[in-house]
Amino acid sequence: MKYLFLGILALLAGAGMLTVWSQPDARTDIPIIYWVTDSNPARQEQVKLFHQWMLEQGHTVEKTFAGFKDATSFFARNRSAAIRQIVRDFDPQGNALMNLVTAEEAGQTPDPAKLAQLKFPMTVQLPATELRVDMGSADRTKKVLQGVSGVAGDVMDQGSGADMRYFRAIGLNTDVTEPAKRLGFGLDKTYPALEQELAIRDMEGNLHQYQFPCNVTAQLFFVNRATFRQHGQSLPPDKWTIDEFERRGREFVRVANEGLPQPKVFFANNIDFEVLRRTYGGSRFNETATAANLDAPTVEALKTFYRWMYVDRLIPTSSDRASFTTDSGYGGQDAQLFGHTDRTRGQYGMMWTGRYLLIEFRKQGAARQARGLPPLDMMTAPPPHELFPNTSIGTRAAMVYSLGKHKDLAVLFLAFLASKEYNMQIVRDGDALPPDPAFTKLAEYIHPAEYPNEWDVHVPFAQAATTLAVGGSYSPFILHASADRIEANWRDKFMNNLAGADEAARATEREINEEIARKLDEDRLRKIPVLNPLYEVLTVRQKKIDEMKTRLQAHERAGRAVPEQDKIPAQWIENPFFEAFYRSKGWLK
Amino acid sequence: MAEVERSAFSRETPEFPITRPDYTQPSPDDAAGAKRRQRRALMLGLGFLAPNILGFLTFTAIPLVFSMVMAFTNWDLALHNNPEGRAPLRWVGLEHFQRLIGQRDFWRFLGNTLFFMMGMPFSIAASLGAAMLLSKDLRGGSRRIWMMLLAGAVLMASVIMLAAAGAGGTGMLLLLSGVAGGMMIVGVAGGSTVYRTLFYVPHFTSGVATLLLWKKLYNPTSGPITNALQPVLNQVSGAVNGMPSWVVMGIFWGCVALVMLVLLGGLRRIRLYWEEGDLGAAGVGLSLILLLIPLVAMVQWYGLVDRGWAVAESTEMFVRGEQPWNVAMAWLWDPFITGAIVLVAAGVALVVINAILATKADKTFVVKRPWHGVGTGIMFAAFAMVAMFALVGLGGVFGNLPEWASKGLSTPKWLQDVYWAKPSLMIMGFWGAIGSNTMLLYLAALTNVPIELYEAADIDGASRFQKFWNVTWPQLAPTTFFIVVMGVIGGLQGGFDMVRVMTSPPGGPAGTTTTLSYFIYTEGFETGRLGFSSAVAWTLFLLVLMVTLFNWKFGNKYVND
Repeated sequence: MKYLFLGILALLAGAGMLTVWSQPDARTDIPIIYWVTDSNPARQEQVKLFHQWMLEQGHTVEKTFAGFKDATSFFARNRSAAIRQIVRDFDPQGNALMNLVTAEEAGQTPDPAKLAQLKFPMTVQLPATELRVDMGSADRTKKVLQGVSGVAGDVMDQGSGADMRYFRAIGLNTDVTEPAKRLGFGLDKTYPALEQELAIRDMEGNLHQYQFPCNVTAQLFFVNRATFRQHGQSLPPDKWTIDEFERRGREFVRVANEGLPQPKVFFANNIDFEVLRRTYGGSRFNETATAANLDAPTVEALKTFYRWMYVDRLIPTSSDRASFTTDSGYGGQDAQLFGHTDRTRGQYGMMWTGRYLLIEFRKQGAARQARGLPPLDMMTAPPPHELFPNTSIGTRAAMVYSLGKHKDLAVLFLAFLASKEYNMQIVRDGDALPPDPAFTKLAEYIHPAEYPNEWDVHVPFAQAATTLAVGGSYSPFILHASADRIEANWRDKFMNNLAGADEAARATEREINEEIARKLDEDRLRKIPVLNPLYEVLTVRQKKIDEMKTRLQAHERAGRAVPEQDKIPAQWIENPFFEAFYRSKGWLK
Repeated sequence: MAEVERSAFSRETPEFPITRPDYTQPSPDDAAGAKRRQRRALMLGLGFLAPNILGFLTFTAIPLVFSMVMAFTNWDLALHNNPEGRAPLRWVGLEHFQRLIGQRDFWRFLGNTLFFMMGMPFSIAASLGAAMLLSKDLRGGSRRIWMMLLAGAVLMASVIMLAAAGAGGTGMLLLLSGVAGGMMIVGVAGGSTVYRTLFYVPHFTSGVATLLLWKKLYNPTSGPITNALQPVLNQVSGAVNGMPSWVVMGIFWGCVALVMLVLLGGLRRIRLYWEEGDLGAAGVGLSLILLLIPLVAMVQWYGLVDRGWAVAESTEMFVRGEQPWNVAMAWLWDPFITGAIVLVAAGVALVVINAILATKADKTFVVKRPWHGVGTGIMFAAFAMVAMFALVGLGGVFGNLPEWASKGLSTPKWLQDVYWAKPSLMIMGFWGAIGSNTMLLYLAALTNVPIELYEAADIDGASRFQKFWNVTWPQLAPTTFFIVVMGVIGGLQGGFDMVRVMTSPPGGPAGTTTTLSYFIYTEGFETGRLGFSSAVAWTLFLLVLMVTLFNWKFGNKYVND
């Protein structure tokens, strides 16, 4: 028994050692960086483009093979398929060399004639790093746990400014301000509205950049013209008010659902609550993001949202959504329902989303073609507005892991995201907007030859990102996830008739402010508090802003022009919504 | 020859005394050898156990101690895991626990967890029922078997005929009937083994797969449950709309009356326990509290306060003499008021009769120990409470039925409905519990009930129910006790995967399905407050420990008695 036991132990130890030995990182001569990203077939092409870009930009290492044996021993250590492919693709003699190496590894004797054709010593250029994709760690919790344990991917994709701030708080992302300037992927290389999503301002007001976009999403309604025609409705206009949206929406659902036992066709799949609140002139936080400020605009937005969902039935409820049996493909059931021609299976006239859904619509287009159907006939419509027309902007951005072993190489990947090669790939692929807005001016973006049915779509998305879009409102004094949870909870209660709109807004405000107080209490436990000094400065500033707002509102009521001395200095405003809103009202210096 | 020589050589003479070794004491060499052997055996044993011990230490014991320490510190990912500057860890004592107690969400989520646990008595009863059915040998040539075979064949034939006739709209009904028929036929062929396997299927099916399946079943429009239920509800609405309202209200009052009967029965039983010295003052108090909770819920759910005000206003009109006949007639035709009067009268009569009987009872024993029998009292009261809640809920359904039916009854939105999300998950849990380990435990326990006891009961002329109540159920008490203890522990800790997979947003709608285990996850991994999250986890542990200790202390006695 004991020999069996010892035998198993030895076997396991041997297997463990073999596993460690066979790890690519342990055996490669070329450093590997891991890119934690979502599951998308386009990633493989992007990895290939990155390697190519490295070679073109001179971020390379030279490897000289003295002879064939030297080459085979190098490739015995470096079994990476990507590196072998690079040698095949980019070196003049690479293909011949790799064929012989592969034959040798397969136990065959290399053809002496072919071997003689190779010139040794042979020098090949290899990228300074090999990029590998890790799609299994894209979950936020995994990133946090791996990150604090010191084993996360070198480059990590993540959402907008909310998570960037959280990762900053736990010290997982690297300040890339300096390399961004040096390598050309600074904030000036992307959309101005993304500032809050990519950088954080310090106490002195300096911006620190922590990430760069992989793609950018300004949200609009995709409109399926065919669905509007099917139900005899006129197409949405370039601009519309809340009233007009409701009027058209009510008529649309009335006609489209005629004869159906229950509503199956909806005017739109959804709309961003924050966009609705902003159009009524409100935001979750006040101007300095020191407190929640859920007053009349929030109440109004809640009531409107409820009306659209439960009274007018313009957008589906969660149970309507759960009722649809379609649930597959990129973009989920919404993308499928947008393309449906049979109203009894469920249909959306418009879909609130970003340009990235073209990936799915192109797939659907191919399927439609196979079934003899015309391609999707698409255009866009902006969100309806009341006081302030706006839309939301977001990004899937890449950050550099602060404990990564190859930070210097990882920043090169961020530089690659600003490159022509990468931007053009996004343009071609339809995966949202390219990080650099300059590429949205190109003909390949505006009129992709293969997809004429999309020609009315591309420009509005690019324009929305530069004109309508306003970045997220974040407070350094509360975790965005906590604020989201509180607000979602009370909105849910309101939507389920467990609380009135006023009560829900008041309770959300109270709970968010309690959470802010708690966060400040926790900060006092630090040796050197970070948040409290900032909070004190900003609350003093907020008081001044409140006083100035009173005067500004008086001017507005009286219909007077605002004197320059009564205007609020723009740099006082931390919340990008108020900056944009007050600027539109002429309240900012 | 050699034997003789050895014997001669060992013979003792005065000149040559022989020192005989003391075989009762080990020689120094032997003792050292034995020690070596012992040490070797010990090392070998430890060597075998080492992987397990190391695994336990690494993955259980050390994290456990670590999390306990964390619960008393301000450990936060942002403060203490920041590689760029870690703040010193601060001992916060009981601060997290104080904050927890003052946090509304904690109590709400604890309430959700306890609500889910209310399904436990039903699950246990169903498991026992299944075990009793499955403990019978279904093979053989009895008449019942032939009937099952016939029913199965008829069902299958009907399904085939309906499908051939193009009855696609009732596809789910066809499927269910087909499966039922198939099960009957296969069951007759394979006996109870087939049924045991079928009943145990939920337990060995992958958890997430089952949850996803149930999510599909709960589809509010096209889900099989909705599709099967909606035609029934259509019939019910037609029937309810066609009958006089007092019939439905009669059922409502029947439910209320049953609630009162369970309450009175409970009070009577507690009084008997008290009089017979089986229950101390504390037990009486706690049991009464549990019994009264459903009444509070009834007042809330039935809107009795509002109705009470309405009655008070009309009474005032009556007293003032404003249209007294009209008011009286309105009362008479209001089924709520009439029912309430009848019920109150009946209740008063029952209480009076009970009181008269009580005064005649022989009180020979006075309980001096207040905590005596508290487990018995609470367990009894808890079961009665769950039954009362079920009846109150049922009454609520019938109370509102005429109004709902007038608009047309429709199936609930299941997981998307704030009122139905929890019951929907409980129904799923109930299904899973029937064919769980509980059923297996009962199956095993049923085989251990001595046959002589049943024979004795037969000789005494006991009915089936009497045999169950007086023989089977007491004999199963240790198993039931074990199941309850494990169920309570599992119930308090559970709910995470169910909530995460089935509800959207997870824990919703409006936090109605968030359990304590999910709360621990969100606090720990969404906000990064590991200290606070650990405090919630340890509070949950304390809760489990207290309930378990309570069960052991008081429940064990109940079992052994």
